[in-house]
This record gives sequence, C-alpha cells and structure tokens, in this order.
Amino acid sequence: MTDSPLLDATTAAERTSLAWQRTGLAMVVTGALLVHTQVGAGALRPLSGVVLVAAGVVAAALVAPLRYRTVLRRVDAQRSPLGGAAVVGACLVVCAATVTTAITLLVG
Amino acid sequence: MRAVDGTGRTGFRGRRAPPLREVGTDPDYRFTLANERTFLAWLRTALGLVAGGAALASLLPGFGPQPLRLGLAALLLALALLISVGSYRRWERAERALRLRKPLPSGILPRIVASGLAVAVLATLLLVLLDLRS
Repeated sequence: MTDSPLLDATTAAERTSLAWQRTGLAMVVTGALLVHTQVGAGALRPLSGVVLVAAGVVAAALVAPLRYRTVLRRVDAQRSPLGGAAVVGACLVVCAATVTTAITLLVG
Repeated sequence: MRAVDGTGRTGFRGRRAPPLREVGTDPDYRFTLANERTFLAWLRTALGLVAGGAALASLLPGFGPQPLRLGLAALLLALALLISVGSYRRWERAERALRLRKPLPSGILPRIVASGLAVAVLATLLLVLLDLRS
C-alpha cells in the first residue's frame, strides 16, 4: 500500500495544489495592499491591485482544486502533468502588477 | 550560428526553441510538480518584494530621507520584476532539462537576488539609523 503510485501522486498533487493556494493568498494580500496604497489618485490607479486580488482569488479558489484533479487524472493516465497555461498566466499577472506598481508609485 | 539543441537556447538568428511538450520524453511526474512548486515559490518571493516596495513608497511618508526610501523601494520592485520574469525562464529551462534527461541548469537568478537583497538589507539598516537620528 505504501508504494502504491496513486498514494504517492495524491500527496504530490496536494502539495502542488497547496502551493497554488498560498500563491493565490499572497496575490490577494499584495493586491489589497496595492489597492490601499494607490487609492484616491485617479480612477485607473487601483486597477493593478484589483486585478491582482481577482487573480489571487482565481488561483486559490479555482486553479488550486482544478490542478489537484488534473494532476491525478494525468498521472493515472501515465501522462505528464505539465501545467503550462497556469504557470504562464500567474507569471504574467505578477509581472504586470510589478510594472504597474513601479510606474504608479515611483514615476507617477 | 548555433543550431537549436532543445535546451532552451536559441541560435544567433533568434530561432525559438521547440515547444516543451515536443522535447524529449515525459519525466517522472514528481519532478514536474516539484518544478512547478519551485516556480510558485519564486513568484511568492516576487509578490513579497512588491508588497515591501509599495509599503515603503507610500505607507511610510516620514520614514528616513525620502531619496533613500524611494531608492530602496525601487530596488525591491526591480528585484521583483527580475524574479517574476526569471521564475518563468527557470521553470521552462528546468522542465526542458527534465524532459531531455539533462542536468538542471543553474542560472544566475539566485545570485542576483541574494546580492540584491544584501544591498536592500544594508539600505534598510541605513534608513532605520538615519530615521532614529532625525
């Protein structure tokens, strides 16, 4: 039972899902801080924070559980659980939030 | 011109490396998942630096001399940008190496981040000391 491949897959999938959840929470917290620090300076300014909060909710509430199921399904089917789209999406969101934060806080 | 060798490098003429799924063979799924978690850990590091930079730039108006405070915020945000771009590059290159059964590429991101953070810590110390004196 201990060397059952599926048992191993569940823990690995769970760790990955939890990592997505933590990342989503970090996005929500950072996004909330961005909304707070940029409030009251034009209508568009809180946008990057709002986008980051929304992305964090999606990552923690949708990507995390979806990733868990996808990983188990792919491993069960002997296929690689490569998560390219989620990785690219998360990276783009954080890049965009970083750039807009730098522009609004330091240049604007 | 160097031929595309599948390791993620491109030749001098800027030809793109082939897509990940078409390179090599599927590795042990645990390596793929560990690589994804490492990517996410880098991303959280970048988010923490964004939060720190934003807080420094606008939540602490009277904290130390303004040029130093804003300079430190700019350094944190620059590191965050480097990490968020570098995190994807590292994920991509590591996955490529896994699929080709090659050793993992080392990369310079950890070195850049460690030296950048060392400078940031020294600047923070200076900021605190200058803030205490005034």
